[in-house]
Amino acid sequence: MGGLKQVEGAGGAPAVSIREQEEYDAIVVGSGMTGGWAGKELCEKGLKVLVLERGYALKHGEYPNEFKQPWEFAYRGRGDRVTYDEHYPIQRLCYAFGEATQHLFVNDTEHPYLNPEDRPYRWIRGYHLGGRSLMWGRQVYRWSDLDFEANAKDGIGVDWPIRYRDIAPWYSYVERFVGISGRAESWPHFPDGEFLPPMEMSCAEEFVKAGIERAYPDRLMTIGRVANLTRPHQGRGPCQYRDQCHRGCSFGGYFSSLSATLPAAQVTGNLTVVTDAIVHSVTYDPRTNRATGVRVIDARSLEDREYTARLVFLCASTLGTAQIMLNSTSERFPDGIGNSSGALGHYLMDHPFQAGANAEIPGLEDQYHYGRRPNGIYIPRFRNLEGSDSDGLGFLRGYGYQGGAGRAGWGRGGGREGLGAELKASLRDPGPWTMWMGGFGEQLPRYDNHVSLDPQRTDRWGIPLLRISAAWSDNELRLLRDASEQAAEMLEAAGCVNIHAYNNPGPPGFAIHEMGTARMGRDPKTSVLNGHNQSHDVPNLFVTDGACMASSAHHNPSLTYMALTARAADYAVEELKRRNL
Amino acid sequence: MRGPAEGLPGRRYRREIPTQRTNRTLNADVTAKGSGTDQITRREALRRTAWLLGGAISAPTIAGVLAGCGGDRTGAAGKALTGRQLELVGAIAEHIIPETDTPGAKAVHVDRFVDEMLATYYPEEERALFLAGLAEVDERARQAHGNAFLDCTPEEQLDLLRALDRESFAPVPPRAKPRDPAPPADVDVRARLEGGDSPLPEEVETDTVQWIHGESRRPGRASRPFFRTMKELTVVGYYTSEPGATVELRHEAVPGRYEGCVPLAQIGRAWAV
Repeated sequence: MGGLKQVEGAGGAPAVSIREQEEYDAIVVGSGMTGGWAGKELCEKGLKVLVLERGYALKHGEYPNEFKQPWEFAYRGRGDRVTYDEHYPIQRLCYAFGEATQHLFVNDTEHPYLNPEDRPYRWIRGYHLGGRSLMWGRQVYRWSDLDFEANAKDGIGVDWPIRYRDIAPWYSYVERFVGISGRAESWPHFPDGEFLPPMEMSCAEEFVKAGIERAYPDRLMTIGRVANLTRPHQGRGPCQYRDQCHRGCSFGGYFSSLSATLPAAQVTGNLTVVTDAIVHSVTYDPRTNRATGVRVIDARSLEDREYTARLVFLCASTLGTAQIMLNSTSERFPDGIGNSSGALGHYLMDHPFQAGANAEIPGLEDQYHYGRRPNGIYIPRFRNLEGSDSDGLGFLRGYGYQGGAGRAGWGRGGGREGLGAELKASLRDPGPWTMWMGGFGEQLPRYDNHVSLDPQRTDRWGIPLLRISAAWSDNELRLLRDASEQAAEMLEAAGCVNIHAYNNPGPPGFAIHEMGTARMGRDPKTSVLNGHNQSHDVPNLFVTDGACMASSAHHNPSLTYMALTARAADYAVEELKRRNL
Repeated sequence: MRGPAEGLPGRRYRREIPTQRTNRTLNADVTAKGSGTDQITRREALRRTAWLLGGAISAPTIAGVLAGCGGDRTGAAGKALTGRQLELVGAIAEHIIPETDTPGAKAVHVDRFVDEMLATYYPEEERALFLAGLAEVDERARQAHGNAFLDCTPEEQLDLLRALDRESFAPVPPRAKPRDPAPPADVDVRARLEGGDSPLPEEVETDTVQWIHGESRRPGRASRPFFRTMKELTVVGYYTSEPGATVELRHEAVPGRYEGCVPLAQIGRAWAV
């Protein structure tokens, strides 16, 4: 792949005038999961597009540490703990953070945020070209009308302005490009997609699947639906089964904006990417009631500059977008652009998780696996399928499980008694099969889970610090309790032993499924965006990242963000043609 | 549902993370920790951590640690360990994972890995605790057999290490309610069970208090008995070494395919990753 047309920040780039002369049709803020899609779609429709990335430039195929073997890491994978403790106290907790991937996560000391002492929040971030699409979990699940109708049925939050039929073709559209391996199941409320061949389950997973489905005819266990390529697709992949996706994959074995959408945008000749460009705010002209572009602070030189365009797409991640919008104030919008409703910054959600069960699977000692599958199993929602609290369990909505089985490795050797030749001999064989199942639940949208800007403190770029205030409600906690109990029950029914149920929900943010703060809705008085991710107030301003979500469902959200982005880009270009923007 | 008009009760916000940036590089770090530490700091750290061993650090042990750190440099010294301490670590590691039909811990230089980790990975407090534990090995060898550990017979050495191993895994009175291991989000179970890119097995901590007061503090770490740390470092150092991963176990850098059910006999040994 050729290099993207990139303009770097002050570090080595041509001097940039205070007001950029070049005129763009569209500005896309953010180069991650949704920024990549907005860039691709708008470029392919003929628009001159500027994609702004606040982080550093990174090239597909040039991923630091990608080919390092365990013995080539100074700390053998444990990382530089003293530095992590000091500068990465939040990021280091992320499952994907480590010695091989540290450079893909922000330095917490340099990128502070605030939260009330009694409402901790974990904000996991990566500031580089491609954003978190490089380190994402790659699990992709369609929502169904059970999810889109829930707010209306429960009288909670605002009704989604769209239904499954509105987004279904766009799910298909993005799935066909992304490349998703999975198994079609024809299962209620668990829509199938456009799948590449599924990955295999291990023998132990097949055993658990059979046991669960025997005991619970209304429950399904399927192989994870994952954006890893089980065969070559669109000139990318296939997956090499190294299970180290978070380092970046020069094979293009999984989907990222760096490997897929940005290159597609680039071949149109319509794309310009500027890195180290921190968007301070969206600029606005009250005479036309249109966004005119964005004000940018150069991450390195701190230079202030402006870009203009006819169309602005905010794809800066849920919290990044909320911060930009709240910071875009004018006489017309003293509390943030597009915030006539007062809903901006509110109804922040994540998925409660860290509740489930582990167990050993007896037998199968003579079975093992070849290759490292970057995927697990999935159990779709089986609670409250008639809506509201239809199962009478004392909570609304539901949860799904991720999980998987594998045989314990040498790591078990350090944690138990025994040494010498016997220890060495015992670790030469794999340990027992272990299965884990972890629930991911729905969080209800609540006004008091919100973000705001600190009135005094700013970061080193002069942008007010984000204050995040979020907590779980009883509904989420009751749901997790059930998820933990049900996981243990299912593992027991399947014939597992040494079952250990756990229920330790961490603070919000840690599922890295943050969403809400600029929700979609039918009524401009109670929502920020309409059914096309378009600002109710400012017609040429679109928000297509997680900020747009009116409810959270319980599914890994990236697929829905991508589908909404492609759909919104299509609508925006049609509106441009009709001269409505 | 609360409406936008409702105000929130006033909350005191605190900075999650300090804004000031410290520009220490890794190298500067290593220098500061490896050689620049003065003995007062070390003695102070030892004194502060003594309670973690149940007050078991005796005066001679402290003297031994201090001497070991500053004085005796007969062998080739490492970054954190003297020549003699390196030798001692190498001997203990070799007992934990000995040479058999494949190389043992000594051959893959676990002693140097431990030295490196002590110099740059562990904070002062834990480094001091480790060195105290190391000195105690010698002290117990003298008490039991009248000789420093390295001067004992291999059988005597193994006896002593077996005792330390047993003691280090003896049940500890519960501090609070037992903690449940929680799997991370979206993670492939294999990474969690077998190493991979995820952090290697370490006590999972999910203590509510820590989220508020700086998540970096892991109270479980410093209280771990010396021998558990020694054994864990040996196991990690050995199985992540090239011979450990590719000769003792099996490793494929780029497997290229996945098969979920394969006879173990066909693979032969546990996967290293």
